[in-house]
Amino acid sequence: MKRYVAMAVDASRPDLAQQLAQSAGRALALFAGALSDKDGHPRTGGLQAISDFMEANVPEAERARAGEVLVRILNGTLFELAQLTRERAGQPPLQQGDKTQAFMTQAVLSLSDAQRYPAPVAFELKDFHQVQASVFQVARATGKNVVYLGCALLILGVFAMLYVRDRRLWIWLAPQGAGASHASMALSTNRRTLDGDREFGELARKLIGTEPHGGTTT
Amino acid sequence: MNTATTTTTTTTTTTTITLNEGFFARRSLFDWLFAALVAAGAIYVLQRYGSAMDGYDKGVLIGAVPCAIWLCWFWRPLRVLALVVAACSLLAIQLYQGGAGGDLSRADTVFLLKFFLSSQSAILWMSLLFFMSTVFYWIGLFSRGEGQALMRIGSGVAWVAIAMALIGTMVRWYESYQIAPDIGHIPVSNLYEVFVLFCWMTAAFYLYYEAQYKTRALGGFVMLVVSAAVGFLLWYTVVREAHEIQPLVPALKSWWMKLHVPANFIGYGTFALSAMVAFAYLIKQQAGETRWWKLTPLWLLGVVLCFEPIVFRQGGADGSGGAYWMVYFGISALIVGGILLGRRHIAARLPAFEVLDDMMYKAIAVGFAFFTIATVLGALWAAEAWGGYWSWDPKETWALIVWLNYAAWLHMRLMKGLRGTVSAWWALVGLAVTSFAFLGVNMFLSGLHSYGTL
Repeated sequence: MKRYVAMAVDASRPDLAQQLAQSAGRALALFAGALSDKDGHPRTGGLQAISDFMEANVPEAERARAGEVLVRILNGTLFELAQLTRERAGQPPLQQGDKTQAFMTQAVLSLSDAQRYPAPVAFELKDFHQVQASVFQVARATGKNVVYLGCALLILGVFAMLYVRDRRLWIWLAPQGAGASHASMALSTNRRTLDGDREFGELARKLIGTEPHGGTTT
Repeated sequence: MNTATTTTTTTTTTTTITLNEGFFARRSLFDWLFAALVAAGAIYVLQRYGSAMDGYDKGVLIGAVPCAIWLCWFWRPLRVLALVVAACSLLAIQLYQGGAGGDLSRADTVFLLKFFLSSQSAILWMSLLFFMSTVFYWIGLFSRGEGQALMRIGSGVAWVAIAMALIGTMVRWYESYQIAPDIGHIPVSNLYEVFVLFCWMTAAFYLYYEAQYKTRALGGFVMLVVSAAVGFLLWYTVVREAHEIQPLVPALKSWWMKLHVPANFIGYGTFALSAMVAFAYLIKQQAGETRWWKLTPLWLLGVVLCFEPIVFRQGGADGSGGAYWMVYFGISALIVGGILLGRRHIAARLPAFEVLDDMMYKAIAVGFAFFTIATVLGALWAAEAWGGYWSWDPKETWALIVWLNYAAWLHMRLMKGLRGTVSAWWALVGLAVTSFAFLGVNMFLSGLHSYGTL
């Protein structure tokens, strides 16, 4: 925290430095969930705690700006914390840049969410081997030709059922007096449609020269 | 059994009666000209681009020639449609040619592309024309004097809309290859593209039956479901930016897709068509009904079907487009209510019950046959892509439910002679099942088929 304040503020302004140190301390305490609320219950930390604090203590108009400032202070101190840790562990400090920025963002978010993680243990990925895999399915239908034949027959059967009409035509000649005869004509079909009637009409006109009369029955 | 009787005097002369002219004897000059054009086109393509095609490509191209000729001979207006679509698509591709090959930025500078032929504009035109066609059909149904003329305009507009949809599809196909060669694919790969497919397929099937049964009174009903699909498409375009061409997910990179998806949509389209005919049937049947509680189920089902996309949409009212859906809901509720109010008048204009019944049967029969093909193709594709014919993926399960539903419908009709009210209700409910399989599964159930999420 001191490092951060020293970096951020000109050394000639101790009052400002003190103010900043105070804010940073408050932000860290909130983030860590170290403060208890009015009733003495411990609070949950994380970014949510900062947001709650803002809502409770800052007027709405300034909230966005103040929140931004506080989060920036928080990020800055945490970054310095990371640098300090690396220094103690004997590692080179992080370089400023997009990558570090992205890492820090994720780190802050995970620290924040870690407060809400319900279990006391967390699993960490240590090693990762990518294994390429493909799934192949082999199908062999020995009766393929039989199926094709069956399908062809099915389609043929459907068309035959619908479009092959068997029709039977009767003409009955009965002698009627000298040299005259009486012709009756009848047609039966297994598919009774209007086509059948029309066809019978044409046949009757052409064969015996009369219009059909009498009823149609099934 | 049909019967006819006559009394004649016998003579000894023998006359030969031709009962039916031969298939080729009925062909007109235009038929042969069309066939020659198609064949010439295929030969030109083979000769010019043959080196870039593999055996399958050539096989498909050669196989497509007789199929196209047969289809267009079978239903003659398709000849004109095919020629117009081919001409406009080629024109669009021509217009896209900049200094060095195709250049997509020309879509913003060339007038024809910007306003008519680029896939986005063409599909927007399609949407507008389908709405117009619906309006013309309905005005025609209610107006006293000029009804037939207005409905004729309605079907003309529907034809143009189909042409625009097909041109848009073709041009989109070309555009996808201009983004990058490996992005290019047939435009049936996501929900936006299949909705376009659904719209023109349903309309085309309807126009076929309209010509076949010589009645235009059902146009308003069928165009209603097409318009609902268009409304959904527009929402999808505006809110989800779905019109942007996306590269294919690896799982869809297969030529099976070219067959599986269109076959499925022949099924969906005709099932929707039959359901709307069933709706008309029930309206006609309940024309004399005055007790409101007898009409309520019909109204409810009508509303649900008209705006099926939202019913299945989680949190339909929240977030983006909430207001749009409220308006959409209001309009559909009003339309169905209006139809029910005008039921007496509509019933008088609708064709006879037998005709409606027959149309319902024909549509379901076609749909069932193609749905069978689609399911079989799907199973074969699954065997190749996922290693098993059938994996009880939600989409597959629901496809099976739809298939069994219509199989039972056809069975009852063909074996037991089920007709009338029950079969109409059944066909109408069938649409609810179908649209759940089509849309609901994508939204609620995740699985291997999750390509077109909402």
